[in-house]
Amino acid sequence: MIRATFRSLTARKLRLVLSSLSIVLGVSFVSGAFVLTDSLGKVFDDLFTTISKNVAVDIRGDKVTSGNQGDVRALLPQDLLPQVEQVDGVKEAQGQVQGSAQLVDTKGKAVGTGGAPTFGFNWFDSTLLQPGTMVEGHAPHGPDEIAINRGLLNRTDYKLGDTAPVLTDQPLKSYKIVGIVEFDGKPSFAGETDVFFETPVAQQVLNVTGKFNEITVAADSGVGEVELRDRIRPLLPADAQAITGTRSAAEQASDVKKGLGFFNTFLLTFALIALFVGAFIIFNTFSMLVAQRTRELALMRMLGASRGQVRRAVLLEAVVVGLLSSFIGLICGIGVALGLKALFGVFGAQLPDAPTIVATRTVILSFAVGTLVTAAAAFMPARRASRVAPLAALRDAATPDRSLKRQTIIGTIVLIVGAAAMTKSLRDGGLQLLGLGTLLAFIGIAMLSPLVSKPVASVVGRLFSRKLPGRLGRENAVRNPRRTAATAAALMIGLALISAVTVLGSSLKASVAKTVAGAVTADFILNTQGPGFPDAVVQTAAQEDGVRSTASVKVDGMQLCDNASCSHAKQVFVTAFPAKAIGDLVSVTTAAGSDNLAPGTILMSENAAKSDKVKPGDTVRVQFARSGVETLTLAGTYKTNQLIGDYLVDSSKAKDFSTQRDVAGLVGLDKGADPAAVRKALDTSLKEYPNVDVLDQSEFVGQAKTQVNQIVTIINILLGLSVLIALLGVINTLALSVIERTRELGLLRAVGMARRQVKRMIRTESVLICTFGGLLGLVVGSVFGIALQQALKGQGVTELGFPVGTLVVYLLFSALAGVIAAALPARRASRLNVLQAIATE
Amino acid sequence: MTSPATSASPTTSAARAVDLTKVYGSGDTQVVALDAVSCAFERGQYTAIMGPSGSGKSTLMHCLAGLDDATSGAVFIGDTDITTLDDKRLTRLRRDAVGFIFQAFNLLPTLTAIENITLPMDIAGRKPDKEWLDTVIDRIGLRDRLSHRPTELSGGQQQRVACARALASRPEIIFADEPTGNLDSASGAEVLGFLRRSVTDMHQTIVMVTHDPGAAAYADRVLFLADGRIVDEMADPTAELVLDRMKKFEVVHVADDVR
Repeated sequence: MIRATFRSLTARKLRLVLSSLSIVLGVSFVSGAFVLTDSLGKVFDDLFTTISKNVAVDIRGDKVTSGNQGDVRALLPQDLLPQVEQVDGVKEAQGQVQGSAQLVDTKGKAVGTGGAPTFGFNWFDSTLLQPGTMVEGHAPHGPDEIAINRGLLNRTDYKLGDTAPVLTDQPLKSYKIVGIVEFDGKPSFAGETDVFFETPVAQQVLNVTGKFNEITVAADSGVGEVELRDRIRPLLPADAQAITGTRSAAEQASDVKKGLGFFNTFLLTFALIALFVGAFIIFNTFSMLVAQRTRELALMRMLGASRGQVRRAVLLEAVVVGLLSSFIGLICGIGVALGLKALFGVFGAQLPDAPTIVATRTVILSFAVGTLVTAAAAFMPARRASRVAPLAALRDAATPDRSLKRQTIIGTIVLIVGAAAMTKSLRDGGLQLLGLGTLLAFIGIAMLSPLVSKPVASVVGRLFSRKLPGRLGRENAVRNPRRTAATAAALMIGLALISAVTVLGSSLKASVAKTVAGAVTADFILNTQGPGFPDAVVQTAAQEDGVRSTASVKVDGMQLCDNASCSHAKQVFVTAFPAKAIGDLVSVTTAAGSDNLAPGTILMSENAAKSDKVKPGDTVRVQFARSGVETLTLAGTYKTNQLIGDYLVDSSKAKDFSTQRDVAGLVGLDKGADPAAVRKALDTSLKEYPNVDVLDQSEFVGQAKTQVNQIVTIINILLGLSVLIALLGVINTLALSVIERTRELGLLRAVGMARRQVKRMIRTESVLICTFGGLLGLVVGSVFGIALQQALKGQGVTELGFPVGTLVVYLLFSALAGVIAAALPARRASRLNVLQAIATE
Repeated sequence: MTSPATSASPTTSAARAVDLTKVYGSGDTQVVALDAVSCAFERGQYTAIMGPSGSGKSTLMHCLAGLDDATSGAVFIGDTDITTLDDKRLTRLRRDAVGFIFQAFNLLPTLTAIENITLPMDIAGRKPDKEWLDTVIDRIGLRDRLSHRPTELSGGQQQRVACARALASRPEIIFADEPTGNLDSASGAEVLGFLRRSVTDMHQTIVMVTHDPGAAAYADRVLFLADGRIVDEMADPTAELVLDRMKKFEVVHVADDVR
């Protein structure tokens, strides 16, 4: 039997290659995702090990909250440093200041990295604790000098000795570049940019005057890090902690790994979708192979092969295909990793250069996933093969079509279970459940699709059936509803997901417009990408003629406390802007209480007040990043608006925020002021802040929409992989159809059908299959998209956007894909030798 | 399209072969299937081609019908030398000037009987001649089954539909390859009778390859092929005469085997 299996494998090379390609692509995405994230993980592992090489103890503040730039920790008093230095066994201790600083290049643009952070540090000379090496120039001294890393220098036209403006928490200021820093001979750690100031300057511009973010300690030889840590601990203030260097490195690495883990899951999701689609192709291929080989299998049964042997022979074939595809997929995965990196680079997320890591886990998983998916997909066809009656060897090859009844019943049940799981997950959360529900729903729909494939293809086919080749193509497409449906179902999955994402994206965009209109009454919005801008920006804007009022908007993390010590706190985001701006530049729709943000009060969105179980007049305990626990009175609640956020305090509270930067500024104009003129004046006076855009409402909405578009595009490109796999399936089905219908083709050619007409016939069949899959996908995807929008209403997706035009374009693309998929099979069909075709058994 | 040489000598034949040679393979494996065969098929005549298996009778028919290309020599359908045509012209010629009836699998399963009959015209995008079509359909006697799919017809009915298709476009010549090979004798007789009448009553030209002397008896004349050459010809054949003639081949073959 084994020999027979391999014979049949090698006898059908083309089909094998086509169907295994679908698994190859899926597996290569799996292995690519792991290779990419492992490689990036390695970079960061190395990085943190290098940084912490000589760090025995790391002293830092307790975590207070999480802001929009990550964890916010308490600051260390500056005079802790000399105390630590006194501890027995401390060889050296260095206080570190870290914040965000962005250089402005010679063209007046803020130098960004697209993804990696823009750091500002204090520079200290140390062979032990300073990870950087000053390779050119000297350390920065005084308030006007900086050193920068080589990676940052390379992104600009500056050279050593030039003067460059730097954006920090303070008003824009120019500094002379006096030093260039490298890390172990590399221009940067991991693609970030670094600006180094002298310590007091760093403390001032990064808003930590008199404090340190961290103190790193090197030990005398012979002193263990745990021992040293325990010696230091008694010195620390209540809100500070000391950990060993080893633990510090591990923590930092695991933070990054967590981020990479999300990234990995994100990529794997697409890989699994691709494999799921691939499973359809495999299922379809093996079903067709079994159908074509009915006589051969029956002969084996006649010659004494047991059912089990026949089933195992088919499954073995699948396993061999799976193993081979997995192997090729694994190798291709390395290329996919590079491709993904380039893709994210195109969209502005530069990932650091990394060595290629193919972990054992990647190899095992790739093989396991590829082989299992293939074997599982071939299971049903194998079972069917084992049921071939020995007598079938004597009958004509054609077996009557089985009834769709059983399939319909099972499909309906699977669909209902899937839909129920999806509904539950959308109501109560749970991404895994959503994924599983979607998977089941797809299988259910695929099982039910043969019921509609015939009528749909007949109706759509009318478009093509004016001439005979088109009519024959249509007939061929509806001839085997199961096969047409299974082939189309693979395409349906990709298109459904793409449509759902598109509908959701479009709803997001519609909601953004509504949200902005409902929250902002200012004439101009000063907007920024990145870590924000100093108050100086809004102050400058306030000076312009025609400007009536301004407001700076700050956002930070805040702890919502249960008790006086705030030991159990809920982490939320809080927005601060001037109380007087409410009703002037910002509009909140009061739901209960007042919208008067008097001192000692807070406003909350209806949703937040409901989930926190408070009503106007109640008090709430909160803790800001740089304050103790305090009690505020809830003045009122307002209709939930994503742009405003759930918690609102007056600007005076922002002094306790971890960041003093504005995330946005609002500008209102005098009555009768010419917006164009004011804007021009603003553009001019804010020119030195290249990270600030002056936008009117519609431009602001436009910018938000562009971001949504980018995300939708990335997701749809990644989903495109599954569409590509589905097209391989269409090619495969057509190729098999051509082989099956060789005699028909021969007859048609004999009685005078031209090659061109044969091609058109195959093309029509292909276009019909693809249009059917596309239509099904659009319908299913639209339902998914609308369901998602409904479920996310509470999260701000209040409007339903239904992009009819885009969806129609998708449908046209599906049809076009059909034309492309038909190219090779049609060519093959038209080149058939007429005589041989007629003589074919 | 037509070379001057052929148009200068118009003929009454619907098809003819001149020194037609067909060689398969090369070197040691070379097989001469047709060895300089020359023959002509008059309009309105029913010709049967007979011969033992391997005699080249099918190859001759395929070459005459433009399904296979000749190694050398010329084949004319009407006045056209089809050996000079490219695939496109050859396809058009098959569509418009030649009718086919194969041993089996003559009909497209997705089309109804009437759609199968008008298939060549549909391919050409032409309207069939209604009157002629009616005549043909009445002759095959399947008017009540026209909307049936081939799977709903008996083997004999299927072959009659195939005959109707071959006639429907009023071709120059019809080639039939063992048209009764898969039929029981009663159905076979029906088909053969129909072909005979279409020659007698409708002045069609038919060339039929068969190995059944009974079938050959329906023809106006029989060509006997052996080893790629025409070895004999018989006018107004009867089953007995043909059978006797065929027996001679067997004797030769037995002699070959003994030697």
